[in-house]
Amino acid sequence: MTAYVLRRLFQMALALLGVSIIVFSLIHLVPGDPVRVALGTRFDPDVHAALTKRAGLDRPILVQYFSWLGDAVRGDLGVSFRSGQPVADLLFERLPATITLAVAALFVALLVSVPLGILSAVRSGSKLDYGATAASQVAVSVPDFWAGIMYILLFSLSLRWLPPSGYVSFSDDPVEWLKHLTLPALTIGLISGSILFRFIRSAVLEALHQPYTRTARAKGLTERQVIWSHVMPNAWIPIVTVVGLQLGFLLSGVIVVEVIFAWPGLGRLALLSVQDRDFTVLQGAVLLIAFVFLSVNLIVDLLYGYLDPRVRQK
Amino acid sequence: MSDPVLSVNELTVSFGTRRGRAKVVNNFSYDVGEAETLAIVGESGSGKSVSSLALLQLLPTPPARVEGRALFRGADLISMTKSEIRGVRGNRVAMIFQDPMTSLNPVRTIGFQLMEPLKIHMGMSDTAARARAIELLDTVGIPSPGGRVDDYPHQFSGGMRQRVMIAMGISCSPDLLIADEATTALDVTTQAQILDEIRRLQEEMGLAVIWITHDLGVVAGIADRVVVLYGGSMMEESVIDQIFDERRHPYTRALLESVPVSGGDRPHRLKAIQGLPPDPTRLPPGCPFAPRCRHAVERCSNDAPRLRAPAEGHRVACHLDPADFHD
Repeated sequence: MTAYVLRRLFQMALALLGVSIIVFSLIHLVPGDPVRVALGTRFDPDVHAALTKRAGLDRPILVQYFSWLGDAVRGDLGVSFRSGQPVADLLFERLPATITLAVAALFVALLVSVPLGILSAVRSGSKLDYGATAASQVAVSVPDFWAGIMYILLFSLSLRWLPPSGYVSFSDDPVEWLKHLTLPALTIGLISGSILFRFIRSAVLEALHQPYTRTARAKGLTERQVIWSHVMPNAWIPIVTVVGLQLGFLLSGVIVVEVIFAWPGLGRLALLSVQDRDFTVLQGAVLLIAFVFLSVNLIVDLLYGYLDPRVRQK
Repeated sequence: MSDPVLSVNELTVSFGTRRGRAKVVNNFSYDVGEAETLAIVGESGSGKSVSSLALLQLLPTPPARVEGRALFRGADLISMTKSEIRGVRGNRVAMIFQDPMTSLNPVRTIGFQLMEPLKIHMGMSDTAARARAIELLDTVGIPSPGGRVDDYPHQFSGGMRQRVMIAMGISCSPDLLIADEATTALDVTTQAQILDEIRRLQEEMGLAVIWITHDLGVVAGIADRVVVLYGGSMMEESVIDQIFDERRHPYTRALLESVPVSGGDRPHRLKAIQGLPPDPTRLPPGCPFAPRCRHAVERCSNDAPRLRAPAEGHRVACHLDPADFHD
């Protein structure tokens, strides 16, 4: 097991290295001079040259890459071109908001999808099944920005129940924190939940039709025992994969929703850094997102071993 | 024969399909006595598995509709409530399925799966059930059962898994064991071992067995009586010694002729039965086998033959007298 984890960590490091190369080269291939953007209307050729030299942008690209990589390994992701703040600080400032939103959205998603998915599969062909399947179809098809705007119109502007945007940290005011969190979490959670619902429904349905489920019934177990002792332990395996993928996406920052709700997360930071040509921040953000995604995947794979004895053995 | 353990009467199973109702089992009646082995023989789609699943209410209804009666020790299995039939399943009537690779739950230990019926039907504690599970594994010939009880199905071979299924089936000392193609997926050597095992348990426990198969070789080795199903209807019933006789239903004869014989004088082609089994949504009005029968006369395709008993221990559904057949 330890050997497996070590091997996976090594693979993860390789993947991150690959990500860093792609990010670095893409940013430097894209036209747009960050120094020029930073100077804006106060452009002066001498200042431009001096700043370029100070940022090390006059060096060959390979030298730039390795110096950046060397710093990054030690946790130093450089400074923002725009604000001059360390990139690592900027990222970690944004991380709590992103994690909060991701976890809240996943909570909403699971709350809706797990019970409905199981129920729809167990009573497949019922009105409940058709209703839930149709609703999930609608929820998946509606774009997130539109849903977000509709929620704001309804819950904030018409009903005045919830604030339309912004973020309050939990330590400052738990009630306001929850109020601000609700709409963005609902927007992403319902979409994510619809995707999960379909996977859960089909995973449970598949397990329900396996011969071992018939064996369990033939033993005289109640339908409840059949589902919880035999169907679900098998169905969880594919479900965990999809939940892990969803969590990975949510943690990578949901750009559109963060922008609509003025949510100070990683996604919005990444978008702003693209607009500002603030490439040090963008590099750092992409690297962090990749790291988070890969970590969630690793956790999912370890969970596999816990859920599936056939995997544990290998 | 003393009072039968199971007496099936006019069992009819149909399924609602887009092309109308499919009658998969038609007025099927038979008895199984104490310590007796009844073989139900037929090709794929003859209704043999469906008829046995219907006994334990294991068919989803709808789309299935089950009619008729199946008196098990005097109580009708078909009309039992859900909780009544649960008390019978795995307890008084146990079932073993065809594919040992998929019939055991891959994420549960062998022990867990063996202990379940012991706990629910016999009210055993975890410790008692575990001890009994190890005993049962030993009974069905699993070496060092104490060490294997916590293993998972994938750590067992196909034959071993089928032994586990048998152990599970006999765990609550049932009165009746239904084995649905229980040895079909196994190689011949393992098959012989499993058959021996069942026979031994049958002698020890006085178990009645319904053995569902398409393999006449297995039938010859294990059964006391044979029922031949075709298109959901019983074609013939006979004690085992007579089934291989001359005077048989044309379908039974065709079935026997299509079995490969080893060690014949000269190589000969297998006699396959011409045509295909009938479509259960469009069963012919007469004998279901008539379209494929070499001896069919006009009457056969209009008028379904009823079962008649030309001799003791023999029932046959055919208008013709087998003595008239000349091939």
